[in-house]
Amino acid sequence: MAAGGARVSLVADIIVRRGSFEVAAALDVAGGRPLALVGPNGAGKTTVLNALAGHLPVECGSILLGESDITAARPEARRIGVVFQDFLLFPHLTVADNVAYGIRMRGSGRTAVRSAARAAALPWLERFDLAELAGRYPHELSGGQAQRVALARALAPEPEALLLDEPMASLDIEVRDEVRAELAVYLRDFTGPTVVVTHSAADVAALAADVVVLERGTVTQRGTWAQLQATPATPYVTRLVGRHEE
Amino acid sequence: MPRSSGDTRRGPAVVVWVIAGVALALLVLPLLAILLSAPWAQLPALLVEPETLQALGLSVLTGAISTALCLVLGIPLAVVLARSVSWPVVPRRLLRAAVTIPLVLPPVVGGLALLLLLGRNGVLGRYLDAIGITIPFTTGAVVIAQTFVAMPFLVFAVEGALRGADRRVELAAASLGASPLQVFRTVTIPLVAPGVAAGAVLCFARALGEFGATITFAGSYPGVTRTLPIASYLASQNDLNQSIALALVLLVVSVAVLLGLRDRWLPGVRG
Amino acid sequence: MTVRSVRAILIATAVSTALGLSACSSPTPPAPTGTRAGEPLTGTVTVLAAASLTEVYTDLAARFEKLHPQVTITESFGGSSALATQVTQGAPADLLATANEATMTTVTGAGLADGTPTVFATNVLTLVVPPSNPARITSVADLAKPGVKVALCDKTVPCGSAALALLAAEKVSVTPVTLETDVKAVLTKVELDEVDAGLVYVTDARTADDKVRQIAVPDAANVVNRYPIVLLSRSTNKAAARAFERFILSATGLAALKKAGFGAP
Repeated sequence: MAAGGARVSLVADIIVRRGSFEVAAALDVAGGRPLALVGPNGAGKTTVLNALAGHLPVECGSILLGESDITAARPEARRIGVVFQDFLLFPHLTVADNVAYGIRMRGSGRTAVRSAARAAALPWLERFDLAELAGRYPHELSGGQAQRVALARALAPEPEALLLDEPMASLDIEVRDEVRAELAVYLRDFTGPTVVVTHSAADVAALAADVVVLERGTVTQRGTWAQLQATPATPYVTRLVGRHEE
Repeated sequence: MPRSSGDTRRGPAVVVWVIAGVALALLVLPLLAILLSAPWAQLPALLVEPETLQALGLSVLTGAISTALCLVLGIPLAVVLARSVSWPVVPRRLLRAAVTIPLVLPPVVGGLALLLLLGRNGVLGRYLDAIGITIPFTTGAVVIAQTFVAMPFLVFAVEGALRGADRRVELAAASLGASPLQVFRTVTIPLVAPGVAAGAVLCFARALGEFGATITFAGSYPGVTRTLPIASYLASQNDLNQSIALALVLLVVSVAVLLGLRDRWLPGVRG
Repeated sequence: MTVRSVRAILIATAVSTALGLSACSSPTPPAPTGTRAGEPLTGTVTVLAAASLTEVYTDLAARFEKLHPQVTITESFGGSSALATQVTQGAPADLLATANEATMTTVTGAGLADGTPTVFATNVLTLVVPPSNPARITSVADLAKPGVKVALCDKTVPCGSAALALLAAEKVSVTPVTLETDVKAVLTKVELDEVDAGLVYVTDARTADDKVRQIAVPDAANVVNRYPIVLLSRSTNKAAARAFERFILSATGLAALKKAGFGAP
């Protein structure tokens, strides 16, 4: 747990192998400055994200969260919240129970009771404007609502870092701008290091402070969005910044 | 390949309806025949006869125990079976074949096999007999026979549910701090619960109706091993009315189970 | 029947076949048998017979088919009560042979018999035990000893009612571990050494040969099952069916039954 006031960093310098595909990435994400990990499809962004979350083993290198080396830690031991591309809400639980799940799992001595967890989740429901939907089931929610639930669920157990995988991908195009703006507000409020995996320039512009570009398994450029716009290092980045008005 | 004469807007062609009607008739008409031939006037008297009540009690008891046993043993087997897709071909196929055995084996053959294994001269049974444990001709033998024939129904139903569910929610659960056991308990099991329930219903129905394996392995003695199907068969040889009465009881119990479990499925779960 | 007369019949049949007389087997022919020259028998004869008749009837059927090559005999063996029920429920059969007269009455009583049944054999029960005789059974009285596993036929089957009568005559009270649906099932359990003893027909003990050991029961001769056979009124091949019935009742048939252990009718 971070000491009050001090910001935690996520520092990763890893090589991940998936089948015959190898990704090498070095990231230094400071709390409060969300990092966008961009690249074309197949670049290896999700592979890196899965490695950070603990779902893929790291071939070599290390991942440090604050002062802990979590390279070999199991996913449930890392205190990293994940918002998945299609949200992966628990279909058999209500919105309230979904959000309360992490609190329940990390309950003291793992004996946290459902009802206590639900009570602890209440402020999170309110923060994400979900209080009225507390009793609904995931299949009854709109895309935007589901995303808020996924975000609330990831943040409720108070993780030290946050990963988002293509946050807008599952939403209708018409609502993306509005939801993206809301998401930007929530991310600004989160004090831990945040990594947003995306291939959308609009996401980068709205959500991220820093950018790392990943192409075919290697990092091809880093910097702020302004720096990328000014001096794109590869044809892909050129296209990326040029398509900002999409 | 040419499409059949019906397109999706108009629904299936008439031919399909007709054949479906024949199939439905095949399934439903025999039941109607039982209902029509039933000795309704004598039914109350026949139903309270000791033989009837004994057989009913025994069938329900053993069926329930067998179903419980199938759940306890079958769910882990289903988990292994579902994971076996990543195994090499030969072990994977062998595992699936092993689970299918009771489905393709004639029940009497199954009963004989159990007898040769667990009978007092059986391959394993002789050791049990030496320490005083005999299995044939006991109610336990009925449970074993029923579990043997009904297990595949449960295993395949649960495996289907496991394969169908979007297992990636387990990743989400892990990222929220759930250990593998907690994931299994709080996410995997509830996700597959409807499939498990369906499998349990099938399992119970199959156990209830088992005849050949039971009579060959467990024998037929009233109150101990004479289940409803066996009692009905024996009755059919001289008292057809009683036989029909017993058959009706079987029918009613099966339908009751089918209806009773239907509403137990978790709300909000898709499908 | 002597060997010479059998040969005479064979020649007669061959002659009549050679004469090329086509036999369309009409459902109710006035002439009863085809062993007379001029009308060879054809078609199928379906016989329902008690389980204890399995070996003997199979053998007789094969012999009859050799005598009448155009006839096929199909046989179905089982518990007599089950067979009688099948007949009353409309099973298409030509002949029915049961292991006691009581079972036959369900069929005759329903008016499904053509003529009166003829008793062709008798059978008595005997006690059988596995070859190793694990429970050291020496008599029927031993069956009542605690811990002895006995298999019997269910009372709804002829061998079951006979067993009950025998045990009552011997004044022995037995609690069996199983009441089987036909006598062959009892025999199997004894052969497999899964029970200590069983009551089956002497004919079954004989077919089991050395797979079981037989123990004589003094009073067994007093409990006799009389085996009737009858032509069924719904038979579609009465000519051939009557011929087979006659064959069973002939000296050849009776000799085969005697050899199998059945008593004289």
